[in-house]
Amino acid sequence: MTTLIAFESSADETSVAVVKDGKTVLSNAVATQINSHQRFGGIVPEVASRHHLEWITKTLDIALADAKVQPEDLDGVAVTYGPGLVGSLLVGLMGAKTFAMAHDLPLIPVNHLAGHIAAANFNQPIVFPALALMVSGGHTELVLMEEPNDFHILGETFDDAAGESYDKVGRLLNLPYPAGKAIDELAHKGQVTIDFPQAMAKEAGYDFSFSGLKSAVINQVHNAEQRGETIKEEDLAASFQAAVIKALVGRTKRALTDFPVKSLVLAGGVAANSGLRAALTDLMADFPAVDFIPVPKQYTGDNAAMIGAAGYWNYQDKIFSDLDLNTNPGLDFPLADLNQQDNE
Amino acid sequence: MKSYQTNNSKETQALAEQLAKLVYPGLVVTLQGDLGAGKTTFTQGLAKALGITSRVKSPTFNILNTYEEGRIPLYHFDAYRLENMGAADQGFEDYLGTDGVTLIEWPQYMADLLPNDRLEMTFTRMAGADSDREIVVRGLGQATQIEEDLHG
Repeated sequence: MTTLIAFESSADETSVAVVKDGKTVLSNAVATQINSHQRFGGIVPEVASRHHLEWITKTLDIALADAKVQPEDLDGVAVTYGPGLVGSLLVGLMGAKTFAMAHDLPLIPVNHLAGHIAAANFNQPIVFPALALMVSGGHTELVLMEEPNDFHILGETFDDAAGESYDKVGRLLNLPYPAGKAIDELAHKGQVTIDFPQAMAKEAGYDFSFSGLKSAVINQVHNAEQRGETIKEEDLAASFQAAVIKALVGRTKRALTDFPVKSLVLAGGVAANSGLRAALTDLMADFPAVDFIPVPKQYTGDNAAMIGAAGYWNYQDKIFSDLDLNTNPGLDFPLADLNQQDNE
Repeated sequence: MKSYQTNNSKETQALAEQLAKLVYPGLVVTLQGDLGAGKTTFTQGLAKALGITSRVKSPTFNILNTYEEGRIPLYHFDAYRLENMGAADQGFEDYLGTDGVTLIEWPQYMADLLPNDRLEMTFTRMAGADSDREIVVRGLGQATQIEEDLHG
């Protein structure tokens, strides 16, 4: 049995978790700057790194108490070192290093994106080879995994992330940030009345582009305003969401067709979107041999439990860091060599 | 103050290529304009002209993306998310006025950190065709020379 404590502070959430064998969450304390966790009394500090600094020790205490473990029960300290905001990453990294040094535990460096994918293990163990569709505010990627800890990007966004396009369309509709959930709910009340363009739909490969869709939605709204017309927000949301889902599902289908994987993981903040989950569930009827493993909704956003899950892969592979580990704000997976894949 | 009109993203990127010839280490360029006005498109054109081969994606989430492989480093900021968070204490000022050229989208959300010498660019959608843009360029302090030398 391997029990890891994990630290995550790459963006808006400060989180510490205790995870057993990469699949059982013993505790997961999350303080967010967006909707302050009830437990913390509703204080929402305004500055990211200060917020992290304020909450890192509190979330640590809560994670240990909730899991009912002592530092001597732990086998390692997993921590996100990128990608993310450097000032925010540093707080979690320093917290993890300090904890590792104080309790003489090995430090395990974790890629935040690997964490999002590994959180699928909280649903059911990922079966390899696997394909992961990772969709969040900062990333939109199709990732091929031959085995645990082997990540290659098949396709990614050329410009905006899918979650980012949700937030920006949300701003246009005066919805609160982050807007993903609100648009999802609006979309379910509306009809698809506008056929938004599918960027790159005709191009080969597995890449995405959402900047053109964002512009098309803006143009639609502006042109309607100029003509003195009003577009039903519900219909606009439904049409926008339909275009995003069509792009995501279309590329995923192509990748599943070209690469014989045993499971499809849906990960990242946008994985909580009910429209996307439903569309992928439908798609999987065409691929009965592939297990569909969406990350459980409560672990789709940023959290430390997922870092504990990915950290367990590193622990098994004996990937450890010295205490001089630094942040890597631009960390990403390597690109797949598609020419080579074709020859295999 | 100079004003340019572009009719599509290709023309916007052509103007960026002209600017790429004039940029120097330490230059700060602010890119103001609404969502979808062409700020990231412009940055992609400038990056390519600087010899940067990796994909220039929207920095909205990370706030800062850095590219080191071009003629000079490119620091691509997007302060969009700082509207609520504030720009203080993030260490961003360490990147301004150093060894690279810095492009800043949504500069109004990190106004306190902007140097007095800078090139201000404003992107506006024109009424009529969806892809028409007016791009206004204004040099402040030492960047005045760039405004004069820039020809679209």
